[in-house]
Amino acid sequence: VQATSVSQLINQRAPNFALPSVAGLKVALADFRGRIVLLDFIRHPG
Amino acid sequence: VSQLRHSYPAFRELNAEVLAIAAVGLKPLTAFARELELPFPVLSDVTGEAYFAFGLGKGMVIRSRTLLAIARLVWRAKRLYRPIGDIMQVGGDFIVDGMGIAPACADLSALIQLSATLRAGNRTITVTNTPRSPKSR
Repeated sequence: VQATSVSQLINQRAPNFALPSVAGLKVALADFRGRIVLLDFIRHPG
Repeated sequence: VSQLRHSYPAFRELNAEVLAIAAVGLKPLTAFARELELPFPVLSDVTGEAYFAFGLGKGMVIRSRTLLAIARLVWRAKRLYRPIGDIMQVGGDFIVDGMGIAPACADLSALIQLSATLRAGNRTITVTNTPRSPKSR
């Protein structure tokens, strides 16, 4: 994956990712295609 | 994040989903999610791939606010506080709309704006801000 600056992302197709969730599921952004998703990138939990 | 917990039902009403992502391992993250009773999926991004893909790298300097927060904790003689994960990690919020487009947004004002936009049937979400460095709780 190429490092991008945030401004380059605006109005572009979202980069996909698939990550393990705390519920034990693998969750991919593509799973939510067609829906609105809010991504909250936590700076550091705790 | 905890603010999002409260607005989560409104999100679901709009058929929208919230995904929280943190650059820490599943174990500490599970404890974190359980403690805050987060109702939405909380994802572990240990390699930082999602952060990276969304242009959120590591900060160059420790923000003065972080230093202040640490100083305040020391001052109050609270129990030794060791943040999980990397304090240099930059955070941010993004709204990905139904078309798979990723405009960035910040703060909850953008969420209010989002729901207003949705009700108006307009798919375009305007950018209100550059990503903040969000407080985690």
